[in-house]
Formats: sequence, C-alpha cells, structure tokens
Amino acid sequence: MTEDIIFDYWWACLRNSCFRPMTTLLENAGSSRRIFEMNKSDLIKFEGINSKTADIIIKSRDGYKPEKEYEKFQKSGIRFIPHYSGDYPKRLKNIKGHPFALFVKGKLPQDSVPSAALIGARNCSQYGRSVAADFGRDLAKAGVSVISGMAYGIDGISQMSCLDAKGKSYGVLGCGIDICYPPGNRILYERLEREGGLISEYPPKTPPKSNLFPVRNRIISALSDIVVVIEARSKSGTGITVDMALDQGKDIAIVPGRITDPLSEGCINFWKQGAFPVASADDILDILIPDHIKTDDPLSPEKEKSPVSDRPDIGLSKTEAIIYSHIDLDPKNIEEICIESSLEISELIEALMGLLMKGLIKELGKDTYVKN
Amino acid sequence: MFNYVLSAGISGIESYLVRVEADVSEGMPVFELVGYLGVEVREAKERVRTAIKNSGFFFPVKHVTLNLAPGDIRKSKTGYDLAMAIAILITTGQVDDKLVKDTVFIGELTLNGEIKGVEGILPIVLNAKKEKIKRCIVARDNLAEAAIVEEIDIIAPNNLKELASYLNDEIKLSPERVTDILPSDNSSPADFKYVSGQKVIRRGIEVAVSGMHNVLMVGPPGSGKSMIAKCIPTIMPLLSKNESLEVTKIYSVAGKLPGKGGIITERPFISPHHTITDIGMIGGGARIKPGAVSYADRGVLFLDELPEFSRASLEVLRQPLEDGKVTIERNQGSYIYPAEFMLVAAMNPCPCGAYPDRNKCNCSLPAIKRYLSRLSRPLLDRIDICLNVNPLKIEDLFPDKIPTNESSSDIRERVEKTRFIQKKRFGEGGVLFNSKMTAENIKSYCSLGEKEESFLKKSLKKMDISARSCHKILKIARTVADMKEEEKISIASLTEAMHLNKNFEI
Repeated sequence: MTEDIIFDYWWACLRNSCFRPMTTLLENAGSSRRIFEMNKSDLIKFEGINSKTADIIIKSRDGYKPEKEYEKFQKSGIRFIPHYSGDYPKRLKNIKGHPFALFVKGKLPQDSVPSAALIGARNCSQYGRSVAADFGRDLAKAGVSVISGMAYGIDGISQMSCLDAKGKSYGVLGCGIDICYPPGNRILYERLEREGGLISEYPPKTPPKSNLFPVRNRIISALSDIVVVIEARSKSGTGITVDMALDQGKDIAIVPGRITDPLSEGCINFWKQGAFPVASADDILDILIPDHIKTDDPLSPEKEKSPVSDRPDIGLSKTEAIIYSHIDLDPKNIEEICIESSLEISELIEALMGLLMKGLIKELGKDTYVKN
Repeated sequence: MFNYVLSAGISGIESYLVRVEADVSEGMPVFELVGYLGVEVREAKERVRTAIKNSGFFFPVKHVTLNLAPGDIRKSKTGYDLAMAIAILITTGQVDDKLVKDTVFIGELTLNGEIKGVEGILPIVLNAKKEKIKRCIVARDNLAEAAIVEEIDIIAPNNLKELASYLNDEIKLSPERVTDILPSDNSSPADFKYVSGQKVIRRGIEVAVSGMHNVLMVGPPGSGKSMIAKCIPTIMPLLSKNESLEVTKIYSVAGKLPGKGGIITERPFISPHHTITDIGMIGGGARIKPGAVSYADRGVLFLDELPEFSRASLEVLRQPLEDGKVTIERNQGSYIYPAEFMLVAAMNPCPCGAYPDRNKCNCSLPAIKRYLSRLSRPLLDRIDICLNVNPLKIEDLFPDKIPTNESSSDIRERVEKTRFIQKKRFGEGGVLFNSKMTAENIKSYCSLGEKEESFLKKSLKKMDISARSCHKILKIARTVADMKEEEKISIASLTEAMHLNKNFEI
C-alpha cells in the first residue's frame, strides 16, 4: 500500500493534464504503478492514448523519483487522500466520477455529521448577506457542517459566520490547495485551514482557471446532504452546482427573494424545477435532523440572540425609534428616509448616527443604510 | 541722441514697468535690439521699421540701438512694438516728447502701422496706476478691458500715425471710459431652485460653501452631481469689485476674457475634462500660462469623474489646496498665480455606477475596491465633506408636484451671514474660512464642553476615526455651529459634522 501511494501521488499530479484519456487508461491498466513502468509502445496500445498523451506521461517520469517526491510533498503539511483510503469521504465515493484523490489541509468532513452546502451569488445583496450569515450561524449551532466554495459573497459569508459560531466548515477549492483564491478571502482561507478544512482534487500549485471551478462544484454537492441556494442570477456557477446535485440525487433548497430582483431569478427557476423553499435554518434542519430542537423554541438552549437587535426599542430616543422603523434589509438612501420620516435633516442625521453607534444599522457606501 | 519711453511686461499676473531706451548715433546703419529678449521681441525689429516707414515717417539711416530695461528679466510677447516705435520717433525728433514721460505704451504693430491688442492689459494698467502714470496708450481691441481701471487715462488710437499726431498735439484724443461695468457673462442658468428634492445634499453643500470646505459627491450617473456643482458658485457671496479685478487679471494674462474684454463679475466655475495634463491643471508650459486651478480662483474647480483623472494631474492640486496659490519655478524667475478655489469633485460609486443597488450593479467587491483605490489618499485628505447623491425618483421630476425649492439667492444670504461670522472671528490677516484653520486656530476656536468632548471621544473610538479626520470634523462642526450661530459647538453640530465627513466606503 505504501508502495502504491507514491505512484498514485505522481498520477494525481499528472492526470489532470489530459483528464479523460488518462482516467480510461487507469481503468484499463489497473494501477498507477503499472503505468509508471510501461514504455511508450505499451501505452499507445491502450484505448484513447495517442502518442501525444503517451509523451506527456513519459516526460513526467523523466528524472522523477516517486519516493523522494512523495517524501518532499509530505513535508508540505498537505495530506494526500487517494480514493481507496479510509479517510476518503463516503459521500464523495458514492458519486460517479469521484475524484481519484484529494489534497487536504485541515480536516475532512466526517461521514456521520450532517452537512449542508450554502451557495449563491458572489455579488450578493445585503439581504443575501444577512440570510447567509444567519443560516451559517444557525446551522453551525445545530452541529451541521457548512460546505462551500470560499468565494466572495454568499459562499464566504456563510462559511465565515459558521466558523464564528464555532461550527465546522469546509472549503472546496478550484485550484491548488496552497493557493488562496480569491485572494481577498485570505482570512477565511487561514481560518478554514485551522478550524475546518480545505479540500481540492487538484495538485498543489495549480493556478485557478475558470474551467476548473464547475468541475469542483460536483465535490461541493457530493459532500453535502442538502444544497441551499441563497440568491443566484439566472446564469451562474450556482446553476452548475445545482445540476450536479440533481444528478447526485441531493435535496435542493432555495431561499426565496423578490421576483423583481435579478438576484432572485436563479432561485425561482430552481424552485420551478422542483427545489423547495426554506425560510430559516430550521427548515433545513427539519430535513437533516428530523428530531432537532427548533432554534425559535423557547425551550431551546441555543436561543441566544443579541439582546439589542431582538428588542431594538430599548434605549432608543424617540426619533431613533422612528428612523429605525423606516430602515430594513433593503438598502435605503438617506434622502428616502428623509422624505418618509419627514424629520428635520439635523434631527435625522443625529438619529442615524445614534443608531450607527449602537450598531443597530449599517452604512453601505455612503448615506445608504440597512438593518444590521 | 538718446531718449526713452515706458512700456510694461508681465510676470505671473503682476506687471512691471519696462523702459524702452533708444539711441540714434552716427555710424554704420544698423538696428540693434538688446535687453534679454525672447524671439518674438527680437522680431519686432522688422515690424517697427516697416510700420514707421508705412506710417509716413522716416527710419534713420544711422546706428540705432534699442534697450529694454531692466536687462535681467526675460521679455516676451509683442506688446513692446509700440513703445519701440515711439522711442525711435522721439529720438529722431519726429514726435514731441512732452507727453511721453508719464505714459505707458502697449501694443503690437502691424506692417502698415496699425495697433493690435495684446494679452494681460488689465494688470499692466493696474500697475501703471499704482506707479502714478497718467495715461496708457493701448490698442482699440484692449480698450474695454483697460478702461475698467479708474483714475488713469486710457487712450486708444487706431494707428501709429494717429498716435503721433496726438503726441504732437495736432489732434485731440479724449480718454475713454467704461462707466457701467457690464458683467461679461451674467446669463448663468444654474440656480438651486431648479434642483428638485435632494434635501440632504442641499444642506451638505450649504455647509461646504459656508466654510469653504472641499466636497466629494458620490452617486450614480444621472443623479444630478454636475447640475448641483454648477449651482455652487451661485450661492457663494457675490464678488467684490477688488475680487472681480483679481479674477479678471488672471483671465486677462491668459487672453481668455470672454468676448472683447470686460470685467468678470461671476464666480468662475471651471470644469476641466479628465484628460487634462498636470500642466493644464496647475499652469506652466513653454510659454507660461495659468492652469485650471487659477482660472477657478475665487470660484469652483469641478472635477467630474474624479478617478479618471491622471494621478499626476491630481497630485499637483496639493500646493494650491494648501496655499491658495501656484508657484512655477523657472530659471528665468518664479511665477506666482493665485488659486484660491473650492474643490468640488464627483465620482461614481463603482465602475458601473449603481452600487449599492445590487439589482443594477453586478460589480464585484474587488472591482469596486480597485475603482476607489485610484484616488490618492493625500488628495482625499484634503476633501472635508463627502456627499452621496441619489438618483431622483420619477415623481420628483414633474415640477407641478414638488414644493417650490429654495432659490440660490436665499441660500446665499445665509452663507454670507456665516462667512461674516468667520471673518469677525479670525480678524484681519487671519485665515478666511473655517476650512483653512490651522491646528492652533482649532485649539482656540473649536474648544468643546466636557459633555461634547466625551461624546466626540466615544464616537471616534466607536467609528474608528483617525486623528486627521478628527480635525476635519472639528472644522466642519465649527461651520455648522456658525450656521446656527452657536458660540460653542454642540453635540448636534458634531454629529452632523461626523456624518458629512464620513467617506464613501464599502
């Protein structure tokens, strides 16, 4: 076994250069070790291998010492999990075309722990942000792992809020595991490595390329028991994940948005195709853990919302309370608030600043406010 | 035979007298011109000789030497032609010299002896008056501009021949005068009464103008940023006579006076295109000219699409924003142009312009960050107030439904009152506006009560505000307090200042 793994490592690093013919080759040849030892004329005999592909294989063996290379790799702190390993997630193994091997930093999702994929638009709205954060937090508290792609927007926000609630989250990357993509999510990347896990089927140092991401989406859906879509445009990468999840027979849930928003189009389309709507983390938990304790159950020990946001009228001046009632999750400009509340500008500004300082509202850009 | 007449040169927007000395003596017939002359001044030789001949006089067949004193300042432009010709005519006895000693001659000559106008007449005439000169001879083209100045005679003959007859007392030319100063351009269509809605912006702009705080407006395309900017000069206090002259001087030097001369009575509104170069912005060039910042003197410099401006053209704004003037150093000397303007900048919140409305904007966060990072920090540090301009609702566009908006002149009255309070506080020779307060001024004029101070400290900590922004907040708060005629800055004024100062952030 130890012997074989070093050849499998070589194979895992190589096979993505010509994915399809090489997968067939492995099936026919039996093991990566045999391929390593074959010469060109033998290789060409196999189905789908032309002389170009054979050359790639032969070139990669040039001066390659499998034992030494594998030793060097092990020092990098990345784990190599081939498909026959006991650590390889069962959920993943069950799908057709599962990855030959995984590169992992941190942990792998445990087979016994329920998991949900929270996915959606990168350029999401404030509504999407807040739903993603709520779901991430509530799922984490219920002990559900959150699987996603570490992208900007919904993906990253839900994973971050899951980690913040001391939950487990796993990021599936579309590039080498040692590359933080997108670079702006470095903090999340580092936290996932420490507090959750990072998973990729691509060898280290693989640069992020657009064709790699749709393929990795099948891993996201495979690792999850349910796929939850929060905001998606009509054409999006989220759609690919949903298609993959359907192929794999997973449950698809969507968070409904307003029908007029472009960011709702994707969700509504999935709904029409058979996905079911969810309005809270509880709806998801109903499916994952049928006998779970509802978070809004007064007996729930998990009930722990910040006291201020629950009862915002406490400690607010009269004008602040009026203004607060005019602000919601949909960004509102100060001009609109001014017209709606018909307060004097100086009063209005004072109230807004007061609410800002109390952390009840948030400013987007400038002079545009949403509920926090 | 030696004689001299007076002319004038220009450095920056100030003028100095130049003595054009002529000597005609026996010897080889040559025409020498000396006095650190630019190419166009040296070429005057042929113009002067031919113009004298074609005006019916003779050019001496002798050794003629002309010197333009002082000899260590570089002379440029063609305004010395007339003085040169008169100097030669006097020296050769063809023209009487009794009027000449207290007269300044400015004008370019054509080959047939006509007198043509030159740039920068206003500063020349103003300086002549200061030097106690009695009269200026200018071209008819320059008459309207020169005649603004009082207590000095402006004579504008048509050609050299007429001028010679006048000096010889053969004909009378009466001094010209423009009695009613016509505004050069008084048809400005901008007025705040045409700005619908936007109550918050109107308030922000009023604070900004009252204390001369620089403003950045952020908003989607079509929200009215440019229109609001155009209205800003209309709520500034009207130009005084002296200020008008100062502004007109700059335009005069650059030959940019609208129409044929006349005085500028409206505050300038300069809106350079974002492709402007650093030289175009600040002035300079091979033949030194004032830049956009000087044209905006005592008015508004409006930079639309701020992130599109080149870094170089924005970096040069630092000196004028700090000192209110531009100094251009050359080996021929340094040139100073005034540039006391209010900076008004406008930009979109993101590349597409619709952020944070995610129904329209699909810009990624990194793309928005990249767009905003095009602005240099040092420039943003000099902008006190940031305003968000929201697009108008359709229903606001129909005028019968909206209440009548306050007009510019009403707002201006309040601004003038606030400006007066500032003037009284800082006294003669002090800074002019709250925005220009030094650290020392802030200490003495923006002191806070105990309650206010603890409020400010708490807010600074909570909102993570830097020390520099804290100073800016105090300056704005002083202006807001002045508008309410508060002696001490109140918490409400501080709050409003903090709100106005907050920058656009994602």
